[in-house]
Amino acid sequence: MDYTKNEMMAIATGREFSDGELAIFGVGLSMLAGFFAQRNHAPNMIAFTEGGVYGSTPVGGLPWGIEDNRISANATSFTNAIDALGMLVASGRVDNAVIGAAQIDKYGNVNTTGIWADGTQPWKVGKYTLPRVRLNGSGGANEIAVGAKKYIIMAQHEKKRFVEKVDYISSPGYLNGGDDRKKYGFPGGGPSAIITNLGILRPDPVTKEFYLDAYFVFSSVEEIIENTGWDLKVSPNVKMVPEPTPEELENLRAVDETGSLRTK
Amino acid sequence: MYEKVMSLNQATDLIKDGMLLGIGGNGMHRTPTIFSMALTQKPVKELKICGTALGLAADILFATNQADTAYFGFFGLENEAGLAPGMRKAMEGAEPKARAIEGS
Repeated sequence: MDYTKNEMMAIATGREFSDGELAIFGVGLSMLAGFFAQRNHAPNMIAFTEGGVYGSTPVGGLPWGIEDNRISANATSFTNAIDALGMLVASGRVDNAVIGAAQIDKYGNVNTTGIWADGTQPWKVGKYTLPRVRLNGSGGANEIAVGAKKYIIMAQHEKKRFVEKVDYISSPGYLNGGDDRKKYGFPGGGPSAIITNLGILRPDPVTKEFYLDAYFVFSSVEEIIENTGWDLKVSPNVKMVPEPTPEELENLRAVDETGSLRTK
Repeated sequence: MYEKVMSLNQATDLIKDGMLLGIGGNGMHRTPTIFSMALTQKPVKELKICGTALGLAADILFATNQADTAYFGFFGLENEAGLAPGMRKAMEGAEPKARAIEGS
């Protein structure tokens, strides 16, 4: 079947959503995955963005931003970040979400703040210094990571991104593993999966370390291990993710009208 | 009735050195880019910039080194346009000219 790796990644992510969920997405792949799910198998999902655009579906293709016209045109309400993040997410009402990551570690902690030269990371030297590369910052991802009942992390699977320990925790996953989230009083449940262009990682129920759960038809266990910067454990039941059905692909491309995932 | 409408030139004259400036919009959207462009023609400096999702309008003021501090949850050009080049130029390297106060 003819589809791209990013399309597989978006469909695999979309399959993690159920009908009737309240969900929050960022821009790009994550929004596409979410609205694919809504069109394909979760018609009663209610989606909103951190900018407060609530209950809408994209019009005319994938939105460029979390508040652009393609996403806000048919919203049932259009409030603000305080309502979206401070009320809906922080109160623990959000069922499912997707966030992205520039750097990610084995406990699902996400760094979108900066990349430091090796040996100068804030956690190594015990104080915050300026990063070598200054990134975007967490945006709403920190609130989602802390407050959503569960969420999925989407990232391109590369060794330099998948590290033993992130330079800086912008959005916490399971921190140092185990019941660390409970210790810090986070209301949300933590990341349920890391879905990449190569496969799906899931957290161990006890240690919370992410292991390899599934690969795609075009990837392999060896390729995924090779592209992961920590000693990745592999599930004894590791399996291949079912390929997209023609119906799933049709629904995905109906959402991705401009074909943003076809060219990559 | 109090007249609030004024020219861009008059409006940018209201901005003084060291002011904390809230910039609206989100990344590339509904952000007052023309206002920032006009501000680059004034000698104003040491501005502090705050916003939930700073983007193009804020980036311009870091590119010209007129701003020295950013308070934000997100600072970028969104999606495929990627990171904010003016902010990066000001905040990276051996002698950074600006600092980031990132919150969420």
